[in-house]
Amino acid sequence: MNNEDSYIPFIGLEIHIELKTKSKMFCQCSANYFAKAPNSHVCPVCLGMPGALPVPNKQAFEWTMLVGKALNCTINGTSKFDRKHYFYPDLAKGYQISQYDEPFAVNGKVRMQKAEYGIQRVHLEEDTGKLTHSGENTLIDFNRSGVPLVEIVTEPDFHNSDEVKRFLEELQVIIRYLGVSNADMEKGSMRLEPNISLKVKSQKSSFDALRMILSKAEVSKVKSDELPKYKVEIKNINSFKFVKQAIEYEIIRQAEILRKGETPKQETRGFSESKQATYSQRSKEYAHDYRYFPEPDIPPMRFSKQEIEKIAEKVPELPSQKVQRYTEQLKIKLQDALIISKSRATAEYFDAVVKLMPQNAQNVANLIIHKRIKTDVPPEEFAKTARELSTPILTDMTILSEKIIQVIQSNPKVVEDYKSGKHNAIMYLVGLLMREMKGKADAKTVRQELEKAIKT
Amino acid sequence: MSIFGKSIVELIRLVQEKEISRKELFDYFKRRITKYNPNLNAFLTLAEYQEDTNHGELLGIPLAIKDNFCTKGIRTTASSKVLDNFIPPYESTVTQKLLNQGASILGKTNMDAWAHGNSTETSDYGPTKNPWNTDRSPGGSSGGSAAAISAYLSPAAIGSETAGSIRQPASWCGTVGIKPTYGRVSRYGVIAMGSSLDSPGPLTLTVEDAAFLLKVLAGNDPYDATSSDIPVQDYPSIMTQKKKFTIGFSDEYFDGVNEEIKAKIMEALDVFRRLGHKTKKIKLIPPKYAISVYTILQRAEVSSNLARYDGIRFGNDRRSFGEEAKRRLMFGAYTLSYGYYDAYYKKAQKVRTLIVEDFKRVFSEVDVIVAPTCPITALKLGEFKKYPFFGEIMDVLNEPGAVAGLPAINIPVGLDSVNLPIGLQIMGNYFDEGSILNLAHQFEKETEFFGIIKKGLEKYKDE
Amino acid sequence: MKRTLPKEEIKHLGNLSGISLTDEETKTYQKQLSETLDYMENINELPTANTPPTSNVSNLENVFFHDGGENKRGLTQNEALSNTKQKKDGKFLVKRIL
Repeated sequence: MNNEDSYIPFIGLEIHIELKTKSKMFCQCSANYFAKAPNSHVCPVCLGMPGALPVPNKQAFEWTMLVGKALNCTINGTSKFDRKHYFYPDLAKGYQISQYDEPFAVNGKVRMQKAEYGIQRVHLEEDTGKLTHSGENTLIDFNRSGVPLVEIVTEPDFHNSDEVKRFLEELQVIIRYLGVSNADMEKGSMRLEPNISLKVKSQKSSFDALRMILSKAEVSKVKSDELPKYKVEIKNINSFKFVKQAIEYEIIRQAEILRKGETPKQETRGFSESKQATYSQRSKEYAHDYRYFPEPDIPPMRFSKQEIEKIAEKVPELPSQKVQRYTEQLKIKLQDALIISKSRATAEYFDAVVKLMPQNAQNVANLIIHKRIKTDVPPEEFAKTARELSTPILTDMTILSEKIIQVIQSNPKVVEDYKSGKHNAIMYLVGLLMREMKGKADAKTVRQELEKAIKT
Repeated sequence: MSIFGKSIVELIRLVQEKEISRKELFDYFKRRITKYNPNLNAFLTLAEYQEDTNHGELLGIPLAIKDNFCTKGIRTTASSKVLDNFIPPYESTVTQKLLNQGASILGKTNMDAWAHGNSTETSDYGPTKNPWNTDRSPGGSSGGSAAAISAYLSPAAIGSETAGSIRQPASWCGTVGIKPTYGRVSRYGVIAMGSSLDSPGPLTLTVEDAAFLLKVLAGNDPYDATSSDIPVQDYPSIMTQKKKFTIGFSDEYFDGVNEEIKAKIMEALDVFRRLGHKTKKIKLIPPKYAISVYTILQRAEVSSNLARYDGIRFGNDRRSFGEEAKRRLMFGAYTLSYGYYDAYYKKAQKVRTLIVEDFKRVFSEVDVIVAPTCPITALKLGEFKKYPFFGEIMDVLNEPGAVAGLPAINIPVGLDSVNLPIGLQIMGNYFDEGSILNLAHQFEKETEFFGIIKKGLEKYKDE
Repeated sequence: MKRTLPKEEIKHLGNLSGISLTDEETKTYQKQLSETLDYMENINELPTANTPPTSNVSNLENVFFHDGGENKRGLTQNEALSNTKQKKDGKFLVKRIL
């Protein structure tokens, strides 16, 4: 075993986003299928009945292009659907209508703080039915069949599991910002399949395969070589936490195989949550011949520059752009900027309030984050309340001095505790005083005066 | 008052004038079916009489429907054991339109299984016999529909054509049959064979009936993304306009054609000339290339369209596929498979472009093209096995037009020496069904098709 | 150019098509498919270097429906399941997929 050899992981992601259109992708059945009676949201089209034909949902392709734009892709002016053939009980027609060589969007990138990740393509396809297993049988519900799915494929630009998790979280927020999907891992409206391979990095300096962070210089040196010649896909991952576990497990598993001088098998593996490990799937592993050909039932699509521009206009300021603006222009803390930008509604509310009180961005951020003021009121009201809070309360020192004497005399034990080192004991007394002062006192001042009084 | 041999237009008048009721008409054909169908095997499934509340233009006219149209509540098999027990829970657009106009459905007619063929002999329910000579095939794949009207078991029928499946059985059974422009009639509810080729259309005993039915069937359908939004012409009125055409005919379309057929086509051209039309020799890409283009594209689409039959949601599983279906499934898979797609499928699509452009060029010189419909007349049952890809070879003269998506109509123009009908086809430009119906009607008025249709019905007269 | 598809190819095509073939059938189809393929070679006689492929003879483009329109084709659970005997709890039933 050569301890000098070390491995650089190359990780790519395939993400599926279920669009929250009202109708399905190719028919008018409701796309809101979750938890409905089985096979009650179906029609001849999504059931794949003889003679049924698909007609595409316009909203679905507009939203797909919106996603493409938000990921900085080039939107293709012409596009089409293709048939992808394979047999599986949840695939009603024996083929899935998807996109092969003319996807809606290509060559994008997502910039996150200091890193940049390539997006190979964004395309539109239809979802399959759902299988459940019951004893010796498999049961099929086609309510989900035909729901629109956007598929996002990244370049293998990730080199550790943390990067992947951060990216997925960012992507989830972007998708939610666009309002095109709930992107909910638990409900299946966001699904992911990472693919992982390792490249041998032969360098004189040692590299700990378990250390997940690479320096930029090391990465670019490796990238200029060829990518690894095999790829392992992992399916059946239901949360960001599990993606991280699966990737970390795979990196170790593949490194062990490589150390033996062998190449990991190119395959699709499943992930076991209980074992926190990936496993080989027993199904036949021959390369699928999907026999793609252009979908003859659906004429091609063509969009003008103006139409594409119109769709691009609908992309709002995205989370990373907000974070940049908040930290650079509004000068609020990065941590706070990240929290506020997590929800478009919150961020836009913040923007509205800050517009009214531009000098107080950090303060507004604090108030929102710590929930000091409710955000279900109009921004003007929030601003007014914020202003009131920040105005120091004038404390009547005469009354305060009287009350301090009263409180000290009535609580000798607490004063003793405080004097003997239990400094937190003072908070009880501050609380009493605040009540006595009926809010007409500034908490800071009260504490200061109390401490002074006790010391004397 | 005799019903026998009357056209749809005539029958509608009888019903309108209350000389016969809708139900009496239905029962009349039912009786004839009971008498003749056991021998001819034109119908696979018979429907019950339904009262009509629509009172549309079709006033209860009974029609025979090819068994690849999904008819709600009525067994639909595409003549394959795979769908032996399939009862569609929905109606095809074509049959819905007919029902909306008050038509009655008499039953579902036999066809080549999955429309794979030209003789109705690949049906899993036995072949249909040609009413002209029951040792012979009626052609296919709409053989049941053609035979049904040729023996007057129905006054008209609905069929479908991918390449030849309306024209060729119409030719072999001596009837009128029109294949509309691809996209003129909705495919929603038609069990798919070749998605970029399938065209539903009527088979009738008169050109007027074809014009009339086509007008009912044609039009844009929001459930079929390939259906055209070009407005539907008023075919019955265009049909009777005084028009003169420049008629093209091509030597390439006479190559390999039976001498007797050639002779009848040439005689028909004389008739056209007599009527004042110009005829012009044109050059077209030899049809043999279209056989390859068609075979590759159609079988590829077939292999894909039949992928949904897994026996889970409906029908029986794939072990019930017949020989011809299996052959086409595998051939189609081959031409789409990795490494072969460019050489076959993509190349065929390119040659398709050449064919489309070839016709475009020709239609700038002529208005319509006339040719034989089929190189031979009806074959004896069983002979089709001699040919490796029988269906496609038999349709050589129909495939170029079909691949390009053009409309065409078959009319009977003679009988051969063994009294089998000879058909002539008139091909038109895109969405110019009006012209081909018009010219066909002029021929019909002038010749009454030489009494061919009447002669064919003789054997099946009411006693 | 006469060429015969190898038996393995036929078996593979059978797999891709979801049909199982006996040895007898494999032999027969091998002959028939090869014959048909031979004929197909004639498309190579026509030059298509600069010809674009036609997938669609109609000149239609951008055909779609508007999201949220009325659904006139919905089936009830009974209708959806009406053509099979293999069903349970409102779902279609098959032998367990591994």
